Amino acid sequence: MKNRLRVLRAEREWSQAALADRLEVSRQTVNAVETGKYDPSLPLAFKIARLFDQRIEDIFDPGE
Amino acid sequence: MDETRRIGGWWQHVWSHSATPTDRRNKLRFLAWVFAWMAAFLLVTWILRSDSPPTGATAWLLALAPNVLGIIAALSYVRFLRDADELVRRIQLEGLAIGFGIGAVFGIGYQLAERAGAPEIATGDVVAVMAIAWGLGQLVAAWRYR
Repeated sequence: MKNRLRVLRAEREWSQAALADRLEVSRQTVNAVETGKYDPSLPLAFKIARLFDQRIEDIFDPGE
Repeated sequence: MDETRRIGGWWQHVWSHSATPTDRRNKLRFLAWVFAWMAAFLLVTWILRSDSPPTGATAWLLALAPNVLGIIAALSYVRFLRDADELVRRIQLEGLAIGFGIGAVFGIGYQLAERAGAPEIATGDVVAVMAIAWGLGQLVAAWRYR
């Protein structure tokens, strides 16, 4: 699944580790989500959306 | 992302199983119980194989005692999984699937091989293969999500 996480993070000049701290996940999880290797759980997707004050569908694109 | 950084991320996965403090704490707790279990197993094995081993109820109690530590270790692993970072949980799940799969195929397959003439092995050997495959499975899964 494609997503805009890397772009949103870069806009705020956060490192992956800083974002991981805010989301209470590992840096590897942030990296795996950004690179599309791992699709986050629904609770994590909601957390990401809340953090960036956006809707889930504005961040994640299932590409259908 | 360059390859060095990718390998670095994978290596961090392997050794720290990701970086959340909760994961590190729970993993250390699990490993501590596993080491205690193994130490108790070796100690009891040494006692039961000694020149004058205990007999009767004492021998049975000694033989069963390490299992208590084994159960505690298993419960601490469950706790580690429940509290784990979600990617760590995924990696563990894939590692367990690979470990159990290889262990089951090896255990069942070797029964047939024994009938065909292969040397007999102990149940503990199958468990060892399963544990090694579990570890390798974690490496493979961590590599996949590096």
